[in-house]
Amino acid sequence: MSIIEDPEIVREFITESNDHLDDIESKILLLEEKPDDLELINGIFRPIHSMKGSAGFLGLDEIASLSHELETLLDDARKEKTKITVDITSLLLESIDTFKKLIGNLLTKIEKPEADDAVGETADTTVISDEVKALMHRVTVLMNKPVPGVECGLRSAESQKENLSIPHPELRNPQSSPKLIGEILVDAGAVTQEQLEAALENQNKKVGEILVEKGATTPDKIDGALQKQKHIDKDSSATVKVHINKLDNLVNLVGELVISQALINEEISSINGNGVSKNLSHLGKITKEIQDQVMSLRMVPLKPIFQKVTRLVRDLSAKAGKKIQLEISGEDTEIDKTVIEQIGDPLVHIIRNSVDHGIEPAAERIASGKPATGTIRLNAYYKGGNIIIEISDDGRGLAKGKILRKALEKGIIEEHAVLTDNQIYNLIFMPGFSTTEKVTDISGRGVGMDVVKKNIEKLRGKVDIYTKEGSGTKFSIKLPLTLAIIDGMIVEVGSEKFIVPILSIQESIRPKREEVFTVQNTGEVANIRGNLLPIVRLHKVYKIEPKNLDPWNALLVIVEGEGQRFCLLVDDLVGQQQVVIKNLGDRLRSVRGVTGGAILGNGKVALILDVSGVMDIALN
Amino acid sequence: MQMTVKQTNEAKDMSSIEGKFLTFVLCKEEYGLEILKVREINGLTDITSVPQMPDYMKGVINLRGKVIPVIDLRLKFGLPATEYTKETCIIVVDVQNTLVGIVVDTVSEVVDVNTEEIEPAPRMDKRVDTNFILAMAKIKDKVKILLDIDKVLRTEELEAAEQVAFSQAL
Repeated sequence: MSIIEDPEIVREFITESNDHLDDIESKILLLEEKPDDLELINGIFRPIHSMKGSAGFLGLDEIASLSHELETLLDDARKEKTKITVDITSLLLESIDTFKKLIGNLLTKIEKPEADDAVGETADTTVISDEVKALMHRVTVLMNKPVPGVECGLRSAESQKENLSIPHPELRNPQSSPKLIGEILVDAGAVTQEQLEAALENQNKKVGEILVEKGATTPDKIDGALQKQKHIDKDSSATVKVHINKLDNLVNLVGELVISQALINEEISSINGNGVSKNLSHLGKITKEIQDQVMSLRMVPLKPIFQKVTRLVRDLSAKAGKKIQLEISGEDTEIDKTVIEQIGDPLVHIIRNSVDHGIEPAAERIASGKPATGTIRLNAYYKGGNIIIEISDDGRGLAKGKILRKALEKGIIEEHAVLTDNQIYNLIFMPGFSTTEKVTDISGRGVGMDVVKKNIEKLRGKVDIYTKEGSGTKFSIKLPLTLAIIDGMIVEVGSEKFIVPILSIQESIRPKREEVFTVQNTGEVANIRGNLLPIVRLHKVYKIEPKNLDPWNALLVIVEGEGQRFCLLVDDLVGQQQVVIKNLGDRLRSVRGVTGGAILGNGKVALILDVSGVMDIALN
Repeated sequence: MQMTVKQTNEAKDMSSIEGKFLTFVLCKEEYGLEILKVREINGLTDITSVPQMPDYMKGVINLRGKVIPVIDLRLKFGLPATEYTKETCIIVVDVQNTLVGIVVDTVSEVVDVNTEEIEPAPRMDKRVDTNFILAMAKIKDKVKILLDIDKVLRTEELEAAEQVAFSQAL
């Protein structure tokens, strides 16, 4: 069934649909809180309708049929012929998952067209087809359910349970529920039945209607205000899709612009100031602003990730049988696009742990005087030059004793090791560590936290734990605002310059002759305050003519990489600078000892060293 | 390089090769590159060498904020290396969606090559692997070697993989 004639159109469909699906997902989650919000229902109806149309046009039958069924269901809902229930929202959420799978398959098909028809249906596609059929069946079932209160005048207790929230408690069957305020008042004669009914009617009306009735304003003004409301909504989502390559190119060019402008500045300012310097400084300001704006182009808000978490907590807490509420703040905080792609997994893992191990089952919570519903708080904000993401829960906190015991068991620490509290808590980041007795499919296999820490460190971030046994735990992730810039120390070897990441540098010294030794005539070590550290001669590694062959006339930069410390022999330290990391491209990807290139102020490229890689080269 | 076996004896369709070519000189011989693949031509700039690379991989340069690799075509073809002069240029080509710079002795001109002027590559010249050659062009009594730049600049990993495949097939 090769309907893919124009992959471009299909790609557009895929991107659009994924956007629609993300949008719908968040609306469905809101709908669970407000099942009667017609705006929300419409907001879900429209994208599904749109997806149905495009899918039909492209001949994507499964997507089109499922959308059609859901569209019918939602149409009934927005015409208030069907009420939104938990069954319906769950169905909608599961349909979203199935749509995503169908679209995923579609993407694979257009990326690897050869792999397809000959092989025939894979197990995957048949499973998904079954899912689609099952979902469509459920829609029919749900739509045939009688609407409580419409078919039968009295709502039975059964149908009341199905609703997520009962919108008009006053309209409940008076015989099957406790007396309502209105009834009591009428019974007591304080209010007449007509007055009561008029008041209840008012409750159902929208603010606009009430105001018009009271004569406070006219229908036109209400319409005008509604228009404004829609406009404000539209403005906030006025976006342009830009290919990321264009942004990258722009960032590169602006970087060069800044360097050029700085060079000119230097040259001109040495010629004694004239009118030029005022204009130059103005140019400098504009250039800096352009740079800031362009860097911000790559920033995207954390909102979609936070929304993913919302869905995750809903699903996980249901699975674990715990009641958990998620509080989010700071979802509009922006972060570099490349960072956002990598931060999702660690975040998800920490949340999983929170749900699985952090929050106690309701009974335990009540026994310790906590509310039955657990709370997980997700917060993001800027601090200094970084973005901080905090995940906190009011669960049982980390158990110091348990952690220590487990670490001893696994041989991660020694019998009589003395550790600070913080060091103990950080043990959970060691590979293979897990204190749960039960391994669930959510977590507990001990492969999670060390990967989390590694991924965060790959982003040049840090993760800290704050916890109190019995009260809860807080994970605080600190990330630099952009991946591409590092603090580097420029070192000179002969006539070449290299950049060593500041993070790896511990100190630099000029050793005394007596502190340098040769070992077995092949290796050299330096005695630094009692520690013997191997010396790596950068000029040998890179085959450069150095200015100084003797360490006591040159400089030793003491670095640390992957737990090993050693010294780099360099001729000089030029200075510290923030540099933009440039990828060296595919063919140079496998070069050891180098993590990328940076463009220095003079336009030349300097290699950014990866200290552990350099050590490997030198010692082998 | 010399070990690639993909080359068959079928004559490449000559008419599909005609078009505009940028000609340059290497070791006193003239070569040509499809103009559509040429991004720009720059003078020689500082090349930062990258360790542990084959000697024809000279290093990287700064191309208006982008860092791109640079290959010395003489060394790639096994020709003797030479001192760089004022005439030495770096031609930036776009292959497989990446930019690569190639160092050549001098750049000549853009020529229009017609089908009649094109002939298939002879098998005798061992210096330049005939796999790299699209065809030969006879223009005004001078012979230019038209290169298949994609093949010339294939990534090393691919070549290494082919080496292995070849040796296993033996």
